[in-house]
Amino acid sequence: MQTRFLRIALFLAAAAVPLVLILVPIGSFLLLSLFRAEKHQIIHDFTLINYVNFLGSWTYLGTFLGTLLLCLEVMALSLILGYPIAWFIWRQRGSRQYLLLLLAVVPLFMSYIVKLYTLRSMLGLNGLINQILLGIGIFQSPSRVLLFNQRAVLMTMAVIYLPFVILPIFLALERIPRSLLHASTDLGAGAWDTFRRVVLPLSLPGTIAGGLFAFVLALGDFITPQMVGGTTGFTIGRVIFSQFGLAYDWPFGAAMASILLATALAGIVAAGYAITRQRV
Amino acid sequence: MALELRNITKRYGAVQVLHPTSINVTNGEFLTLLGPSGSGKTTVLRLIGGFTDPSDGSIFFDGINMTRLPANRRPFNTVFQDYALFPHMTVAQNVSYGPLVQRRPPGAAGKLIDETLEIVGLSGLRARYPSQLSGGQKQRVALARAIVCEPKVILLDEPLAALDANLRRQMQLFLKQIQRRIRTTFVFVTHDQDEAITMSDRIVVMNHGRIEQQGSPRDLYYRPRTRFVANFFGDNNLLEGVLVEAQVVETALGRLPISSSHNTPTGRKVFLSIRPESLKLGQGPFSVTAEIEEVMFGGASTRLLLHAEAAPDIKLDMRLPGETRENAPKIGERVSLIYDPLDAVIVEE
Repeated sequence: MQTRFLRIALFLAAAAVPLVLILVPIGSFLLLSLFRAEKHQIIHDFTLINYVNFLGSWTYLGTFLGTLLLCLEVMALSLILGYPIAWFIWRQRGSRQYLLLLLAVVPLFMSYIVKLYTLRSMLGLNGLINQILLGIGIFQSPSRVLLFNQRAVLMTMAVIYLPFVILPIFLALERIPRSLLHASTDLGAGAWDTFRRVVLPLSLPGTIAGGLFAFVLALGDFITPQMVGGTTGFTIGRVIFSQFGLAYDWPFGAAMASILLATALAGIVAAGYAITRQRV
Repeated sequence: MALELRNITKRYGAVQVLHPTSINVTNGEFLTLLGPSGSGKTTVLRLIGGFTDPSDGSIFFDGINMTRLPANRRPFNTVFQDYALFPHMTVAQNVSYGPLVQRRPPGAAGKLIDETLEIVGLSGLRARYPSQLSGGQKQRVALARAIVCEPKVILLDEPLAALDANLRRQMQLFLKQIQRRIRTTFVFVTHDQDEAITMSDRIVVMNHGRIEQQGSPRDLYYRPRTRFVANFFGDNNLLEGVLVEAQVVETALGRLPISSSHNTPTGRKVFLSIRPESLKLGQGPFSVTAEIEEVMFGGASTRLLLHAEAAPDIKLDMRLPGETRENAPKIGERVSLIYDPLDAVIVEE
């Protein structure tokens, strides 16, 4: 009797952790978004005014749609960069493969801020990229086009999220049985046909997962736009941040955060649907 | 001579997995490479298929050297052990993969695909995915996928290993019938002697990266030349002894005669090999007395395990056909055994 009680208590305690740490904050946010703020005071009566304000103002809605587009671009760019890297690592044999894989994920263990500063200095006026482009003669003089704009945000995010993209793609590639590649060759397919008809379709679930990671991470990121975005690299994350930190309109910030959450969830559901449609 | 392997060898670093080996396969032949794991049989298949390069030697097909030809340009197709069906493609898509990537004209290929699916009995399952198929059905798809490419040789890498015993027997018959119908050369790899004996025109027995013996199933069964081959096919009685005269072996059970021809010099240590079904109950000038240790009823025949009276540590294995109630042997009974000297062969170590 006592052990059974103990078991139930333990189960509740274990279930309480995710409940308290995840569901309760989200719930309180949703609740907060239904209140309104007046002169930095939160008025506790239910209203949809925050959502109406958001959808009614092109400043906010436009920024939101711009951010969505940016996130899709980040996703595309990080997949274009990440897939060949994952593929290359996958083609290596033995210890070299593990070494390369380790190098690919090492950035995950580094501080986010350090990575941002590194990229910022690389993209800057006297940065590595400028020097290279000057060296090969594409630029006549150092250029500022690489930093403090939307393009800089795109490039920085794509590079920073690369490990999150490489890893699931590599794992998907690794799951493809070698015999399938042999079978494809055996049936007369060249390397390109094998890649296009066997490798690519079978690695699609991992690729979708990697793309989803990049998309969701980009959606919630407000530090990168702040660090490298300058005045034009404005994203919805920065807007939400300013509602909490500067404007003290928490209900409006919470409403936008809720919309962002719904968007991320929609992305996850869409990706999940796309993955389950694959027969692997 | 269609397919010729000339002194091919394979080394991985210092490990020699295949010693110089030459095999000739004639057109339309069902050739089996038989051996335990690590015998080099799969290596031979992979070398023919082009999945590994030989360290030495060459592979010819119809007089053309194929040694350096990549796998996708060889006129051979493989049925893989795990079938290797593409999981994201339907049965029809799997089967049409070869013609598709070989850029064959779709019209003629389409007809061929339909015919092939018909031959292997899969016409009704065209739209299924591999995950929706049973083991035997997957096997048929893998075979159809190879056949549809109209290869000169079909290579089969232990294709029946994953099937249960009943299905395996069905598929053995099926493979044999298909092979007769399409008249394509089959090179079949297996470690299962029964499979090899029932299906092959010719068997190449391999062990430790070398050919032990090759010949027809009957040859290998009744005329083994090495102890390994004598032991590998079914049950056997091997009696250690010395060849004292051209037709007499001196064993622990006495001087036993043989009538088969051989060219082993006298005085050599040999094994006398007598199949269980060649041992009979009865009296004769060289009969052996033995005591029955175990009786195992097996339907069509009954298996007896005995030990010789003269040397109790020598075990004998025999089969009695069509047992009746009257003459049912009993454990502990003493019997006299004879054999036809024509059925006994000597093998060397």
